[in-house]
Amino acid sequence: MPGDIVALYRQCDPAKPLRAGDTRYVSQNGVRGPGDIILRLANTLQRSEDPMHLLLTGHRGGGKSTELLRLRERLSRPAEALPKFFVVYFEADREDIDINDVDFPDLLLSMVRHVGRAFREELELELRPGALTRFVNDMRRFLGAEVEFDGIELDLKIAKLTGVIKNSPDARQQVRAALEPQVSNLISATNDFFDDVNTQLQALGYAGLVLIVDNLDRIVLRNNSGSEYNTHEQLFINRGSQLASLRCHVVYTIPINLIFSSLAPALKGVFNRGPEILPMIRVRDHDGNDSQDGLASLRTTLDRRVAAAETTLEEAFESDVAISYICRASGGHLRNLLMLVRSACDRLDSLPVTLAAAEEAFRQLRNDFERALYRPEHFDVIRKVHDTGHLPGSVYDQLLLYNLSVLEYENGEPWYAVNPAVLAIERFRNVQAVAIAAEFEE
Amino acid sequence: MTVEFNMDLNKEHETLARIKRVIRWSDEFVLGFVSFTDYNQRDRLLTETVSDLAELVALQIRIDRATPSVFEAITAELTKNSGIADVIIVLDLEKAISHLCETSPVIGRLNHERELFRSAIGKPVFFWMPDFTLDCVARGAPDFWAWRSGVFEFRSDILKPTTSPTKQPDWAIMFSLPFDDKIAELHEMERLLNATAATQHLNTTEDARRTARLLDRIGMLYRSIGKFDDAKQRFEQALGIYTRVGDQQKAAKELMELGILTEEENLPEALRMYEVALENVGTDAFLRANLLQQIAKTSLYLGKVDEAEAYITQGVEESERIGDPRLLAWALFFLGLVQRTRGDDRSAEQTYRRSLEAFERLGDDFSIAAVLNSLGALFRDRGDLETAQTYFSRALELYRRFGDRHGEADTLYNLGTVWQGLGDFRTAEVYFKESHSISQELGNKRDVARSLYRIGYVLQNRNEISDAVRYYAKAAGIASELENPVVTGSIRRHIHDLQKSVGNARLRTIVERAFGADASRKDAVDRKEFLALMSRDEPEP
Repeated sequence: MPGDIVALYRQCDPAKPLRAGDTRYVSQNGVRGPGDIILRLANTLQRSEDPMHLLLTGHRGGGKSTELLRLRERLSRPAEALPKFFVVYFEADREDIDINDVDFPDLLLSMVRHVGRAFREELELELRPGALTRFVNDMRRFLGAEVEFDGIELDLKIAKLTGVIKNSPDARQQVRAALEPQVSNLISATNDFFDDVNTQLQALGYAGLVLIVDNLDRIVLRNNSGSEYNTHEQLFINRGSQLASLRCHVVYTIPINLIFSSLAPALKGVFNRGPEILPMIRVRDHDGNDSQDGLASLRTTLDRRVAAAETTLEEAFESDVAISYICRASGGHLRNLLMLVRSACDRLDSLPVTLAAAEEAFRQLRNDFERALYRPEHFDVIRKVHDTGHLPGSVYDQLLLYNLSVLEYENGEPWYAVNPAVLAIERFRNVQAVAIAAEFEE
Repeated sequence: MTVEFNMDLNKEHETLARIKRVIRWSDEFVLGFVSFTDYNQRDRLLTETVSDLAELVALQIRIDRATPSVFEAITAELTKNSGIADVIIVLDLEKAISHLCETSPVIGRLNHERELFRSAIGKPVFFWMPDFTLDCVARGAPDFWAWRSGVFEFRSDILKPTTSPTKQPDWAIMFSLPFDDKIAELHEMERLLNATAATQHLNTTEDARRTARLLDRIGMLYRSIGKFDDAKQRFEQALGIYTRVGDQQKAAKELMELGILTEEENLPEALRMYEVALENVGTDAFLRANLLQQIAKTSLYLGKVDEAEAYITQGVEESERIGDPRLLAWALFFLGLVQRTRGDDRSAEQTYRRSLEAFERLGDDFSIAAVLNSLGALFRDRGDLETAQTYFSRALELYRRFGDRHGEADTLYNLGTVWQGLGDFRTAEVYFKESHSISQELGNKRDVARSLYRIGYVLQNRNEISDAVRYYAKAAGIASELENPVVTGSIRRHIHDLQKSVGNARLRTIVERAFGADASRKDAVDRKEFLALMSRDEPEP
């Protein structure tokens, strides 16, 4: 019935992370890598007496947001006898940060704003930190006379301020220039604010505040003119000690390519621990054989989606072969999995999803990837990854991880594999053929 | 890119059906991308889509260079429409991003406004754009791109030119003006010229100069749209006036313009004109640097690489000394050409990119198109046909926007060579024929000759030897008038290949049969030139 296919199509939205408690969620513990990352992060925060600054990374669309929403749930509704936190989760790019051009003070102000708003909306409490308010009032001179600060709360003032920072490059430069010499004072005032927040929370029975800053991994990767650091290195390494100096627990998402930067050891030094990496679901083992556990987990993921569409796997897919094909073709990347199902659905008027439609969807995905791989050197690097399971240390490693052409897997040890959609690109095959011919000649 | 180029109607209908399904099935924000290769095709398919979805309100939003944020453009339009829309169709993203491709700020904003699309729009949004613009989105807005629910590719009808060249208000130089604006400017200049002629009789030097300036401007406008004969006539008139009033520097400038037009048909003559002009530049450093570049380029085309290098090195130095960024960008471009000829493709690529960046800073789209074409040729010759195709497609888009038929023909020719390289001779033939038809219309003999021998080569590959011979012969006939060793050499190589493949004696028989006993005079000339090239020594590889 056509109705079924519409429901399945709608249940496979690649643009929507699952909220905690969503019945479509499938724990991928054990098939991404050993253990449960979210449990590890939660344990660290629940057991630490000092403010922790934790880093989480993983491929775009790999399930980070879904897992972070689980972390929020685990910390704010803990099992009995475990400390309960007041968790403020926000998507850094959603409102007031320009992902094309973000610096530490912008992020700091955004954090304060989200905490202030959560206090007002969820706890019905107002925060009135003197020093920080003075800072923000002082910044008003960049907003123009028409912006009124009187009678509004700190977070709303900050919203106006960050709005200007985001929308006006000139004002942004002015604000930054004015803030730069005073960053230490700003951090100090913000930390006083966080102390106040934690004190009030403890009076309400919370263990304290946890800030989860999602989507910081989406900061645009580019070289900064006049600087040896790219945009990612600038914020997380150059400004890392400032990010790590806040007196509350914070979980930051960072771009996956950063862990392969030559400055990655500095990252570990600044935050006192390396980032947690959310790898892909293993659909193949390091030696290239199918990973039955990983494929079964992806099948369960599909099962939950079809159940939400009020149908069954047997009705929704033409055959087991079609299901396995889609699971393998996804490379263990959840968003790719959903995209493949959607793309296969839109080629059909009704269920079941056929193998032929799945194959067409995969061909489309292959073409989509090819658009981002336009330099011959990209394919040289991809071939090396394919041959060795390692990143060759080239200048293109970061980009290829960033655009998902190369995926990271883990099974105790990390390894890398080329996205199946990239493996299918004709040009990659040509590079392979040339390489094989060269070896043969030698 | 893996391309199924000759999309049949079934495939087209299938893709349309997919688009309509997704729109009908979506009850919230869904992101779709539709790629096309031609505006006629887009308009036709869009009309069909909208009319088949008559039960839904499709809000079409066009954006342009002045649009800083697609999201804001959509919300503004939605507000105007009181929020009434079932699907939003965004058109002309390519115009907003222009040549900046993935580095365009509009693309960057798409990436970071992704969440806003989902939270504030809540309806399906379909972007319709040329295929190469989709590459820009995939590269420059990976997060936005990652949310796509479908990519729908149409690939036919590529050769029909844009019917409605775009208005671009901010062009830095006359050559980059949109076609319509150029025509409007031409009418205005011609009107002024007639008015000047009617009221004055060139009695004073100043009157004469004013007329010459108008003629020069009109000539440039004609050149910019590929009407070389009209341009030539105006430059010659201007040259006559400046010579009469004794202004050698200005006369040298007109001579340079005439040299540029002469290059197409007679390289040695063009070189001579530049050299005479150079002797008369006097203190005009700008003109001098410009002429050095032209001489370098022409020397290069004549195979005099050392001379070309010496001139262009001088040209770069002069341009740097003068401090004119456009002049320097051109000098770099020509330096890139020299480096390519020397086989130093690595340096050439870097030099072209420097030149491209400089033109991009200037917003000089006309020159950008020229550099894109050269970068495309570099990648094509390196075997990276897909990248080459991307560059050529972007150049073609720009040329069509300016209405530059000459550039359009040149780029179509280049695209033909890419398809030939991909082994798709049928598509290549379509491009070469389209290029040939424009060049014929413009009277550009060099371009006519080279598209003819390319068509000949395509026919040869289809084993249609007799027809191939006819095309080679026509090309040879035209080349004999050109005195262009590059074109002649290429034709000779093709004919020698044919000789090798079919054998000398058989080829002579085919030639005789192809032209027959009652060959026209023109055919007889072509046959004679063909046989002459056949008899020449084996060319250098």
